[in-house]
Amino acid sequence: MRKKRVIGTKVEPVKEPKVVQTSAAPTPPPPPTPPVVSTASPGPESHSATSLTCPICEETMLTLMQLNRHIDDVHGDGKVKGKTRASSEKPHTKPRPTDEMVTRRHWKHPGPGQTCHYPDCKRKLGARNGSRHCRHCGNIFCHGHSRYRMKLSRDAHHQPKGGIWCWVCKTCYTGREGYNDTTGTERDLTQEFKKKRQAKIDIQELSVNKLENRLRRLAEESIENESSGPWWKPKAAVTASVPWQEDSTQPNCPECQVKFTFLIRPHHCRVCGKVVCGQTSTQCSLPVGVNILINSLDMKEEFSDTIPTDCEPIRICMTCKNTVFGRRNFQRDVNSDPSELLKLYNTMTHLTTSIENMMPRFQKELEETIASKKMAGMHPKDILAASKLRKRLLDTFSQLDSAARRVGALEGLSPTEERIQQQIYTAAVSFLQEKMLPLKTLPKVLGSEATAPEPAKPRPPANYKALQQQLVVMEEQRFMVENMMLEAKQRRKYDELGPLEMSVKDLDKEIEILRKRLGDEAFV
Amino acid sequence: MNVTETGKEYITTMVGDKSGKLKVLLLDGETTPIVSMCTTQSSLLQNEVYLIDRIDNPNREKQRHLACIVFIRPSNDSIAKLCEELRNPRYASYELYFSNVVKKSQLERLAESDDYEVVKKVQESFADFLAVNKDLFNFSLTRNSLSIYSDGGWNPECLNRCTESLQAVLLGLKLRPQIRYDANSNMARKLAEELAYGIKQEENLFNFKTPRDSAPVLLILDRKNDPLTPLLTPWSYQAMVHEFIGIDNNRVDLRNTPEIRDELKEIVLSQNDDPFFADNMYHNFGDLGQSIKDYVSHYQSKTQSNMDIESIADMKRFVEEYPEFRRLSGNVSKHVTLVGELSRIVEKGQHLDVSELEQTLVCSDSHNDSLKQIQQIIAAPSISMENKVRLVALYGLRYEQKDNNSLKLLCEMLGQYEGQDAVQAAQAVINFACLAQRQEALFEEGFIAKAKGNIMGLKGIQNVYTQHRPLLEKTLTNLVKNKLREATHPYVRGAGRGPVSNNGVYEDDVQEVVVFIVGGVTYEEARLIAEINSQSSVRIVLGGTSIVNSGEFIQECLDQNHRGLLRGADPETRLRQLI
Repeated sequence: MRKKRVIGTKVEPVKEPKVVQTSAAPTPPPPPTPPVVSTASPGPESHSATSLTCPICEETMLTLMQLNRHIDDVHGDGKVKGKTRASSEKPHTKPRPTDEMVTRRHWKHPGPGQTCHYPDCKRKLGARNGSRHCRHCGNIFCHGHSRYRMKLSRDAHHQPKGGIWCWVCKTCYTGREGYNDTTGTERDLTQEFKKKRQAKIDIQELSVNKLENRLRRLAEESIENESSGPWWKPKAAVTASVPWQEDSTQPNCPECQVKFTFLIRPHHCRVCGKVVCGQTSTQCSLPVGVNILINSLDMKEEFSDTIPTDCEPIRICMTCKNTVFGRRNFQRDVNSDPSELLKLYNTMTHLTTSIENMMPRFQKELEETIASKKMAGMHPKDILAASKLRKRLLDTFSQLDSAARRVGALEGLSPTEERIQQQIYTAAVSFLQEKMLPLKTLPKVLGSEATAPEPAKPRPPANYKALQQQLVVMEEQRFMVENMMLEAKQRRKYDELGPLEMSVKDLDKEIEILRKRLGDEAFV
Repeated sequence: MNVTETGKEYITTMVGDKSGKLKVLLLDGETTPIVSMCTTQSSLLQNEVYLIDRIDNPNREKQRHLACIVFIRPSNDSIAKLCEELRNPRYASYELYFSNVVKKSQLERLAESDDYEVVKKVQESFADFLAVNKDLFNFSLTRNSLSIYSDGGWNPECLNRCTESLQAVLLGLKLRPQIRYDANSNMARKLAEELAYGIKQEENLFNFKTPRDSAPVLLILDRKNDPLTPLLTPWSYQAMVHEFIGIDNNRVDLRNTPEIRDELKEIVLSQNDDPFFADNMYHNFGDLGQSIKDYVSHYQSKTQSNMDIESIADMKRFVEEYPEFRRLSGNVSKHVTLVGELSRIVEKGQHLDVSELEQTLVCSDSHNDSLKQIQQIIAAPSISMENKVRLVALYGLRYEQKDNNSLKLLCEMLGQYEGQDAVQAAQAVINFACLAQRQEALFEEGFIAKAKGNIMGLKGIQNVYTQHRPLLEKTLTNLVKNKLREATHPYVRGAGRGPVSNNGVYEDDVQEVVVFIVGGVTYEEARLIAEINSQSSVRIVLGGTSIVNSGEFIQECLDQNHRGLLRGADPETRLRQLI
């Protein structure tokens, strides 16, 4: 098309194709003159204004004075001087910058008996420990905390390029930009990769489509043959879609290199027409039933219920099978139902996230409760909210715990899954141990509070509730300590067992007492 | 300027994306130790990584519900493995991270293998180094009994690897340094030039946003200029463990310790998650004994307080503190075992006696006494061959210039007691680092040294076993003071230097330094760097092709010697001249 246009407009063929391309674009580029005209039109003054730009940074200026001042201020000691120095080759013309040029207006005045300003440095300033202003923050420091140097601009800001070396304090030195930066360089190549991949994918899709269409046609034909023609001549119809390779050209199977013999016959892949062997052991090619094909090619709608069960299967070679069905199978696997292990894992993730969401809220409530406890006035409502939250948290924890147990109890997994199972279990256990601890501080607060407000008439239900709570906490702790004992046994740390056993005994005693006091209400 | 943190940060960005999906981390042989040194199993678990596998493991099962994170070094082998994996994906989706620059052709190959469009992300994360301490890294190049030497210079494979990895270190730390090297070392020069070229090639990567006050310096040194530090017995904790037992990627193998418990057969020594080790890794043996005593009594008081639990409040406290306590108890038994083993080895090998003699040899001038003592030690059956070899080598290096020295006599004696292998080893070391090979004086000679020695004698020596200071200290002091001469440590050609003031002195401070030692770095030097870092405003990171102890150093000398690669004459004739 481009060629035609070139001839049509009689543009010289030497001309660069790029130019031709742009001229072929629907809207021709505007002529370069109009903008100039338009800027010139408002008036001669504004025109002169546009021409006043700084030659170094190209910032526009209104007046010549401003430009001069700008050059002095902004590029004063940087590039311009560098240029003159390079051209004149007289380095001594430029005075060496000293830190006296940096402003000292922000310096603090030393008071009598002043100590170093660095946190936790109690050294007295003076002849012995030294006394020096940090040129950056203006505070006064001992020698040890002001022996750092940094480049500062004339108004005492950090300026790595073109600044003047000055003494600064440790805080300013370590606090400057990039000092504590531990993130390394990274380079994202995703876009480049995707671009390269797309080229390949496009071609791939074409060939997949081609093969898939052939396969569809084959399936259709096979079904038609079955329903209309006699069974002994399907071959002619099926071969029509692709030319078959001559048997004699291939003495060996291209897939498994086996030599064709009287017993190992050459077969033809109906999709690509190539010769392959039909051994069941290597599976170089397989006859695939039409109904399977129709299923996996999503052609069900076309042949809603008329699929004959015994029509001629279609032989497909390994390569074609992978090309056509590889991606489908992969997607099917990815979208298939997850295993029991993964389902449990998903519930566990939900539980952990909800715990993590509840935790800060709960902690806030807790702090408020503690704060209000210190203030004399006590709102039972707050306690109620906190203990409600606590109950919900505990419920979630126990759900998580049981899910973890179920994960641990799963059987009949593959070796890899077993490894995952173990990891999930350990992770859940450590999560439980870590997150449940702060929860324990609550009964202490709530417990004393719940009984404190109403000591006058100890109503049984309130008392019961507090006791029940205590009992629950005790049993929880007993359970945890038992777990720890088990672990200690496994790790053969017998020296830790002693205290643990004793604490279990203590707990049992306490639990017993509580149970007695609660009576029947203990099991609510 | 913290290599462990940088490495950790890289790993975190890889696995940190919380999608609620089970993740599998695929590594190759090179990246496995990198990951294991930067992060812990539990932190990976927190980031939903429940499975870690090697990409070269062909027996991995299909798990098409798992998201896969691949972190490999872009070597041709690993890339080929990855292509295979992508062609027949075992997992649902892939995020690819490379520890170094990926070549265009490699990226193309990968893109062509990704038929199912499973790759979601491709990124270069330059964590191509083993971060040992926060200021110490290495490349473990000698790991597979590979020698970095070949035919009078670099083994080309190692040079390549070294350049790439060093470039990754600079990218990780975001430094674009001026490169200086040991003038007398061809290997250092070669590496410096390759690296400068590499940086130029990757101009875009080295274009960092935050400007620095002064240009950082990369100093490439050669081990042969300081053979003493690896030969002397070190007495600081980390260095001792490496010298007497061996540290491999922060792991210590204690299987050969008598009566060792199962869980202590392999222990991890890491500055990051072992507070006791972080506090004491640079302490010498004596101080270490005291600290470990305190540590144990601290533990005992804890146990005591755990024993007398009387009230519910006590119990509650106990349950809350228990995990911490358990960690403590594990750590205490680890360090007690380790220090016990160290003192057993020291006593058995009479290392204290040997070390005293070593220090006398190196730090003072008393030829006849030393000679007599060495002869006694060579004759002693209880002292290991390695110690004898080291003493003879030290003697050879120390009194190389002395007329009518007795190296020949000592060699004969060594051969008589320990066999020809020992003699060969000693000679290899002397050959590797003799005066002709070095560029700076290691031993102070003449009048001034004697005067100094007298003053020292008056003051009294602080510790007989740690008198020697590594050459690196002098080099770095000079560098920081802007006094390191270009004659000994030139800049890479073409790369100039910062501004010069009127009187010809460089004005810019040196504030960030990376030191890289070709031929291996020692933990003793790492201790020195940590000391400088804590005492001054300059920040230094130390690295090396590997981390050597005396045994590995001698082995390296032998490696190099066997290939007959010293400049000038072949080793045989050189030796004959020497003796």
